[in-house]
Amino acid sequence: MTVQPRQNNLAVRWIRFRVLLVATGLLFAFLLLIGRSFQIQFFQWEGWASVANKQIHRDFHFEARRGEIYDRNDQELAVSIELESLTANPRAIKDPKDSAKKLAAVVKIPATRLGKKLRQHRAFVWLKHYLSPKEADAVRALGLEGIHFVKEKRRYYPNVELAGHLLGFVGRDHIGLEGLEVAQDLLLRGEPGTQPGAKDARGQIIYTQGLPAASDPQTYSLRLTLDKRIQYIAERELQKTVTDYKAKGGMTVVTDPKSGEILAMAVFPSFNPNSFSSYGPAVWRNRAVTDAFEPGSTFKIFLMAAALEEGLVHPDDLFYCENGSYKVLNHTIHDLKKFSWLSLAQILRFSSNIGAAKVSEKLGSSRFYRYIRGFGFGAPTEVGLPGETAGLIRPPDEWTPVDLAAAGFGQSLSVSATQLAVALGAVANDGLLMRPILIKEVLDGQGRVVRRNNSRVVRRVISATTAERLKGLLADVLKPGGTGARAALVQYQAAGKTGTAQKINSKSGGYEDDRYTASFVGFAPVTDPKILVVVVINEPQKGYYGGVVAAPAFRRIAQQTLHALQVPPEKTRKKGKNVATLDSIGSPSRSPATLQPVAYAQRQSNQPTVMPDLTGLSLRAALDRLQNFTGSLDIHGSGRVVGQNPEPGRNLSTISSCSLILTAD
Amino acid sequence: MVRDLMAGEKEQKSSYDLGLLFVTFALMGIGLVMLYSSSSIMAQQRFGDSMYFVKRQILFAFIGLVVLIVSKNLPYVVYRRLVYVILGVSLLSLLLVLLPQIGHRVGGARRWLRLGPLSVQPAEFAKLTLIIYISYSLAKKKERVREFSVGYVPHLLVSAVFIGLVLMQPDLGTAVTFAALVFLLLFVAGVRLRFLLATGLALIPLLALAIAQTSYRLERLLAFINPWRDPSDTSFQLLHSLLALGSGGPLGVGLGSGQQKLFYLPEPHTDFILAVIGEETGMVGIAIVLLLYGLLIYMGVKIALRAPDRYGTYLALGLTLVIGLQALINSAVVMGLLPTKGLPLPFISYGGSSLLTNLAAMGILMNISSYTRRQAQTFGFQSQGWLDNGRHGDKRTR
Repeated sequence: MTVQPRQNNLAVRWIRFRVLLVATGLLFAFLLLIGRSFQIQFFQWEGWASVANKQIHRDFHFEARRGEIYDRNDQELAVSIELESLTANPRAIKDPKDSAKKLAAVVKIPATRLGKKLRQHRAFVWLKHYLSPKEADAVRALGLEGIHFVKEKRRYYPNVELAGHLLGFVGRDHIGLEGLEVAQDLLLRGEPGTQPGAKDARGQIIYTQGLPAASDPQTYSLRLTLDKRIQYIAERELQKTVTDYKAKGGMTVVTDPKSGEILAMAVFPSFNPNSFSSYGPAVWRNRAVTDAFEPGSTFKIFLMAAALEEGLVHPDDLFYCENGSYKVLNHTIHDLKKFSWLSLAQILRFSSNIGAAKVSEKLGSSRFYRYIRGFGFGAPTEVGLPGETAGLIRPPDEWTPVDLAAAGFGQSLSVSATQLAVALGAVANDGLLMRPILIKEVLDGQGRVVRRNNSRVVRRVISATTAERLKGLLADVLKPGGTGARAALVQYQAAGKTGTAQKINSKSGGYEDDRYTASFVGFAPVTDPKILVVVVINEPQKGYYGGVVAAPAFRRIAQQTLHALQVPPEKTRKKGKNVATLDSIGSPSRSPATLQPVAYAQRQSNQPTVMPDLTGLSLRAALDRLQNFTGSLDIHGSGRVVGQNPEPGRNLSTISSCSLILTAD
Repeated sequence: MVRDLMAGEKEQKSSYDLGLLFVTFALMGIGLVMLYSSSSIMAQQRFGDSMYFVKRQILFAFIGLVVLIVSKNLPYVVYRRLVYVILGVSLLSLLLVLLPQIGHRVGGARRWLRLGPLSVQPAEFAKLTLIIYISYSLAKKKERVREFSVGYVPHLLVSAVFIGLVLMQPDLGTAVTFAALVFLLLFVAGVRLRFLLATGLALIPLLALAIAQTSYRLERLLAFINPWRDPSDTSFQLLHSLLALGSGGPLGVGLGSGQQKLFYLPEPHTDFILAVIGEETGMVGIAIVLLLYGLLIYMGVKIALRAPDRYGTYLALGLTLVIGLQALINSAVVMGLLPTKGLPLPFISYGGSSLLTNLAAMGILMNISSYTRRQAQTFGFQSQGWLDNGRHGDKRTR
């Protein structure tokens, strides 16, 4: 290689110069980058950082567990539980056909449907929501690949139909849809907890350390005034009455008249809120608050209250009852029996419509109206349940003389069962109208009482003296010969009134001869009322008099409720013809903690003397079958019986204890 | 005298090597740490192994070190002798990668050739090929490079073929790097500036066409002009890159604590790894990385200036530039100074082919460096360096 120093050197110098020129260019470029970095990371630092923080940091909200609903004795009525649901990763399943077949036998879904799901090219499919613990264990025992469980929250009503109308239910999204669940939805949902955290671009939550402590979700539970035992009694007797008299339905409300607390509220036909979707909105209605009906003769109570309070009448005053037929304008009022002269007390006792019409005429529209409103009719009772009706009480200036006369025996106006209970409560409670209470207390997550609903007097409707007089008149109704004789109690003296109202034909607007509302309202014991019961039976087909259809239901509910509440008996009456024996009416439940049906003498004879097979029965039905069993009873779970110890067939008298295992449907 | 010279030489040589080696290892070290930080979450999600990318990168690093040792000990004149073979192989691989049966497509671009379990990017190796060819050709033609048909046309044609093939993948970033490399080498060798400027002007409409043809390029350009235009879509990358850098601040949020890599920043382990560095180690981290590249360029330019012949000078400069330009362009993109392109950050970004190529470039550079003294007397133009700071003044030939 030859060297050409001079010429070369010049060219080489130029090359070097240009190399350095390039190097200088690069240097400037790097300086520019350093400057840019300084600009972004120093001057604009806080701006970018705050944007980035806003993007990434979030407050995460955690839904609180939906609060429980308890009865007054802390028995669970509605609870939130976590159940396992079955899911699968079809990609991880090698033999979908075999897996589907094995699963089908356990979860009771056709193998073909499962197979279709398991053959999908997805990483996740739902197979079945809410497995029972038994099913979940069985699936686990199969040990299948690609089958997984997901915990899902579910609202569960352990007593199945019990108080279903009152409690209502929640939808899949855990939002209340009916009953207390919707009325107290916001409270039951609780307050969500917050946790500051960070989220990645895919929306996944990343918790970053060193963040301030989270606020915990707060759950609020309800303690109702309801008594599960009384609710059970009311539902059973209502069902029995509706079934026995082939009625369309019925409702009953049991209250403590002095405090206004509602002890039971039942509507039949009932429904199971755990599977509410298999019923319809017509069945969901809590008719005891949503439906208004013409009360019939039970309304005479309030007529008499008004007339006595106004000093217009005296219990011994006589009224001419027109021998059963009384014409007001072009309308004729009839009595069941022909009466000539009746005292005020007798008008109530024999439930004379003509007598009531005459008292009504004496009272006059505006005064009667004032008392009607005073007793709370024509306005919702604000019991705190959704869809409450105000009933229909037209203003007095619209009343015709016929309307006025009819109002005296509870036609031409409409009320709800709850309104009746509240209004009668004022009579039982020395003339003070109490605000109905359904929610006794609100509890926080730790079970502490955060709010208490104390008894509240709405107003005084009648004087204590008037109330006392009226109570006496109403007690006479239940005496032998009165229309309410079949409502008489053993060991306690009750007061009440029957009601038989013709129903209005919705098309013609006239009354029908074959459709009635039979009712009985009453309270006991008369001297110191502890309970008040309203029974309304809708369109009974076998018999329709309130005294025949509803009075016995009142008697059974009141009698058992007084026992359940351990109200001391007033007196020991000699058993008369009309008075039922204690045994035939019932005895209080054996243990307050469990639902214990009351034994019927006549049914006891049919009871098995060996351990029956209880599998598949509801707790109610199972306990009915165990009435001859006198030993101790252990009940695990709720729902339907899936296991029992001892096995069926053992002689009951040789068994000292029995345990039942129940699980949800 | 000769012995003294040799002794001085060795000292000189080894210090250069150690300097380059230090920078290389420092960048690779930073790269592995940041690769783990930026890719572990994504790797865990995608492959169930948080070390997935790190393991592969380490494997390539070991292969790359072997390549570095080999190329450091292989006299750089070897490439000049084999230049047409290398050129042919490289062109063939660039053609093969375009064939649908052979080329492996990832995200709309056919850039990879599958070799057993690994895939390689022919375009990465083509960078070296092009540098070798241009250096050889320019050195051979010496002063005649000033002539249009000798110094300009052949290089333009060969480069155009390379750039064209790369654009067909498509890989605009690499194509732009090629163009810049060739432009700078021709400029240094003495090709008339007006030819180059004219070419540059002529390329503008072509570039515009290339951008307009591919919708994503246009989107990227528009996004560059206004990153907030559509923060959910195309300018997403740029915006999140700036968010990462900006929220890092002067000192960073701490290694591993970066948040933009949590699927906000696309490609946090390849093209936008500098943004993760900026977020987690702050301005200081960015400065250190840029300083290391600066050091590398400084040493590379020094080797180029001291190379025993023009071929060595061009080759050394070309290799320095290929790393320096990529580092510059990548950083500029991350900082929002250039529109988004798919270019890795040398030694740091995840990518086997890129790492192998860069380590090979370092090896060749070290080899050229080892000739600077030994051949001092034979060739007439080394060690006259403006960059020498007087220590070696006694050894100057002038």
